[in-house]
Amino acid sequence: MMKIERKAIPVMEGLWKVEADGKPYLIGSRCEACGEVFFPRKKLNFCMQCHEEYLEEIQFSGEGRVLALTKVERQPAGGFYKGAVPYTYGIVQLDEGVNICSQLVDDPVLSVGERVKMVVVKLYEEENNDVMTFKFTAENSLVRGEG
Amino acid sequence: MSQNAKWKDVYVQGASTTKWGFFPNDSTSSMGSAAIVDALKDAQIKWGKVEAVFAGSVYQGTASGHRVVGEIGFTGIPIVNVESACSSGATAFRLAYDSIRLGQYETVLAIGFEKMPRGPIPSTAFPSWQLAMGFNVQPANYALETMEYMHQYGATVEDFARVSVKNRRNGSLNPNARFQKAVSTEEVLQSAMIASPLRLLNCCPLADGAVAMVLTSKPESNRAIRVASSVLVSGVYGEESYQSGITASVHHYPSKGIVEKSAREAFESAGYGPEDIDIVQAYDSMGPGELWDIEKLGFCARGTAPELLREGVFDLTGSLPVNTDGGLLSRGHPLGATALAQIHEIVSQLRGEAGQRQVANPKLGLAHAMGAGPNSAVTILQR
Repeated sequence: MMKIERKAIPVMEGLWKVEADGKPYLIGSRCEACGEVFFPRKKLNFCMQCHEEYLEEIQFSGEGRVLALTKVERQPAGGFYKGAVPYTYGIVQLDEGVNICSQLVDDPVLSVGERVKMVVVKLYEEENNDVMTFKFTAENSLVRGEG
Repeated sequence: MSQNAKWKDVYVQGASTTKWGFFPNDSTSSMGSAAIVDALKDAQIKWGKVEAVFAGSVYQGTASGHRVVGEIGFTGIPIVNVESACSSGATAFRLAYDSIRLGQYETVLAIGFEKMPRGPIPSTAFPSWQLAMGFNVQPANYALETMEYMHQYGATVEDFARVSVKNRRNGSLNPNARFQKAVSTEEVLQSAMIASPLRLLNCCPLADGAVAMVLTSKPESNRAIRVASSVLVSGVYGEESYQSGITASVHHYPSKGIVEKSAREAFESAGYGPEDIDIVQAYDSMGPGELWDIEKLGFCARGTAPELLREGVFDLTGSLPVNTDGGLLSRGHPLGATALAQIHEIVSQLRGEAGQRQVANPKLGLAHAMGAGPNSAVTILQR
């Protein structure tokens, strides 16, 4: 019998890509008219800040710092979230100048102001797939991305 | 937003609320229709005088206001169902107010009702990828704002516990509140952790119930309360709104946030300032939120509300009583009805009918509700 190979699929297409050397990066948009930066990438070519149509796709370096974080102790309602509980999420300010909401790998424990880097890790398993997500973790963390 | 000489003055002539709690045997139509009948009695008018109904709710589905009004009897008038998350009741109130102010109707009804799902709220105010990542947890989103507030102003978990203590004390004097038992600071600080640093007793309980209000340009009773202004602001570009999954713009942070903008418009429209307000219903879905809400509404400088709370300024006997009915933390949070319940408390206080929790001689009151989206609704009422 043929063994079904497990597949890694992203929680949503188009949030990040992986470079040839294996380094992941987030994908966003930047407005050439006003300089505003968006994550995720905006599919509609319309800047929410200046209302012009000059958006271009950009890639982020995947590094930034923590602005705020919280550890969620209970399962979120609605059945949308299938990852582990408790989990930590917060606001990360990327070096390119955009604030994003992200889950955080809280080992070692993170604090406000700390430098973090992006990793791609498993969010949950579904049938034969590993559903992957980006997260941020301490710069000196030993967590290795899988994607 | 200046006043137009042709606009009519608008008054709340009748108001009624059910008790707030967990009522598995009651439907929204039974609770909502009971509130309407009581509000009509309070206003001393017949149902046939009502020319339109504006109905706020969040989780009641298609034609929810029609189901409520159907219990009273259809009379051919328009029924407008309104959803703007936790500010739905204030939005219904604003539409009712505008319809009279602009001369379309003489007497209308604003109602809010909710029957809450059990447990935390399954929000749909987030894109699907954020739901999959677990970002729709409201205590957690308020925890992020709380972390920033602590970091910026040095506020502590003891400060946040004091909000719960004050509001639960006020709620113990409110026979309609879901929780009518006072709590101590220690009880708050030892309650279960929900999303650090927020604990169970920092978070409001959900509730079922309904509230109804008769608005008119021709008040026929000296118990009528004038609506000085009613404002809704739905989103300001660049500001963070964690309860809607929106993060701040680094390059284009607005000079005025959504709460500040709605408060400024409400004060300008009313012709009064923060210094004229005697009582406040602030938005305390999570205890810490009450503190920064009081500051953003313009009642004190940023970062100073914790100290004023410690000094008793926001107590029933203080110079600016806040959440006199116990707020969301005691009354409970029936999403679509919450903002109208806040307005109801201001009406009761201004009429001098708030019983054991009555504040001495208030003349002007302000109610503020936030709603995911984001929305910020401010209502100012005058005796």
